[in-house]
Formats: sequence, C-alpha cells, structure tokens
Amino acid sequence: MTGWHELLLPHWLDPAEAAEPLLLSKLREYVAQSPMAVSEFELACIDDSDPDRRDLAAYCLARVMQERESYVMRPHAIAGGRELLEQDVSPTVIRELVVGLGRSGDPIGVAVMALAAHESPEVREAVAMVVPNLFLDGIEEARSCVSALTQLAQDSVASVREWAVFGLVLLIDAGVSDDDASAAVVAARADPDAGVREEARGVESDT
Amino acid sequence: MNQDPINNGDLDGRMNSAFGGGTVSVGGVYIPGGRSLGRTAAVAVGAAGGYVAHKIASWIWHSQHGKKNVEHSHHVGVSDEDLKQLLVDPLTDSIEKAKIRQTLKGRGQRRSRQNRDNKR
Repeated sequence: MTGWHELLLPHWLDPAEAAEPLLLSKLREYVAQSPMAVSEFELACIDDSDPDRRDLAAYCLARVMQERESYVMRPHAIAGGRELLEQDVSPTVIRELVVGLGRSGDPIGVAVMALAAHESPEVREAVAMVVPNLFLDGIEEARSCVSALTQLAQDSVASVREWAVFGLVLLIDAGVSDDDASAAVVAARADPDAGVREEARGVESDT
Repeated sequence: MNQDPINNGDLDGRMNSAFGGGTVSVGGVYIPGGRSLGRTAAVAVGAAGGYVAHKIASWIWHSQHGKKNVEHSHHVGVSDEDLKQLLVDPLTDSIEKAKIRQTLKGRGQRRSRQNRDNKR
C-alpha cells in the first residue's frame, strides 16, 4: 500500500490553490482505508526528520480534527493533537495543531488560548485566527476570547494584529458587546500597518 | 523535486556532515518501533549548535511553503464567488457567514504572500 506521504506530498507541495481539494480528497481516502493513519501523522509530527513530511503530517492531523462528520478518527486526532502541544515540536507543527484544535468544535480546543504569547509569530497568528471560533462554537466565553484577542491586537507582528482585529470585528458582528473589544478596534484604526487599519474599518460605521 | 535551499545548500551539507553523512535524506527509512534514523541521529548530535541553527533556519524556510490550514475544510474547492453568494444569502446562518469571512480572509492573505514571494 502506498505510504501517506507518497500519496499526499506532491499535492501538498503544489502551490496551486486547485491542488488543495485533490489533497483533501486523497487524505480522506487514505484515512478511510488506514486505521493507523492518525497514529502515523502523530508520529511523523514528532519524529520525522524530513520537514516536509513532518509539516504535511501536521496539516493532515489538523484536517482530520476539523472533519466533523466524515471521520471516525476525529476524536483520536483531537486528543492526539492536544498531547502533541506538550511535545517538542516545530512552530509549523504547532501552528497546524492550533488551527485544527481551534476549529474542531471540541472543548479541548480551548487549549490554544494558552499559546497567545508563544514565541513564534506564526503560532500567535494561528491563535488569533481561531479564537473567534471558540466563541462561535460555544466552547469559550466571549470575555475570554476578547481578552486574548485584545492582547494579540497589541502584538509586535502586523499579521498577528491583523487577524486579532479581524477576530474582534467578527465577535462584535456576532453580537458580542464589549468595551475592550470596541476600544481595541478603534485603536487599530491608527495602526501603522495598512492591513490592520483595513480590518479595523470593518465596524467603523457601528462604533 | 526538492526546492529547499537549506536542505540543498550549505546548511544541509553541514548538517549531513554532523550527522555522519546523509542521515537527513534517509527518506522514509524507519527502524522497527517507529523511530526514524534521522531522529536518532538528531538526538545524538542535538547538543551541537549547528543542528540548532539548522533547525531554526529550516523552520523559517518551511513556514513559507507547503499548504497550511487556512480555509475551513468545507470551503476547500468552493470558489470565492460562490462563498460571496453564500455570504449575502439570507438562508446562510451567522456562524457560517463568520466562517466564510475567515476563509476569504485566509485566501486573500495567502495570495498576497504568494505574490510577495514571487516578486523576490
């Protein structure tokens, strides 16, 4: 049987957007046929010396976490992903785990909140990206999400601030009424980065 | 085709040398029990500064290519136009609309990063 990386790696490396649907299709096929797929991905996240295979494994694991109806393996992927956050894995792997856990809809996903001050900006960016989902999926209170996002809206890296402000705007649009959230969005309109300012204008007419 | 300038370049040479030559490119050769030869070698020389430097440089490079989870899975393969239609459809619930906005933002950011990288 073809190994998971031989099957998936060419599609994962293909920069074309059109390659991703095929990648997901192949991943679903592989997981459906391979009872050990999640374990293979977990092991590769920790142990694979090839960075491509390691990062692909993290991508796959995160995708399995988000497939709410397709996979019987989803709970194993979520539990395994949570455990991997405690391991010595690369920021790229952590980034994928954060997205997978944060968008899984599982209460375990709140674990990503603890990574809002992670040393890697790509991890912090991922946290900023998924924190709104914790609220939207009903697994974290608005106040906690706003608190994390207002902290991230002060980040030194513009792309982190951009996602944080975008997240605050999403929460406000979802009906969250919070003075700190509104103040952070207003402050972001004077951000030195154009992308952050653009996101902050999302609720300009409402505040 | 490996386009990784680090694993094809000087850093790779130094790392292979530190690992006793070629360990990094064992490419899927695993010893029984699931531990890779690369990992075993990496642990053996883990204290070496060169390894740490390579690891950091490799992380930086690999954060710039390969696919990342950006879109919600159920949006993968759905065009921007179709997602924007769903965004204005009164039958689409508010949570799904928020997820669509996240996917569209993620796509936009990914494209701008690709454009930036292509100009380099």
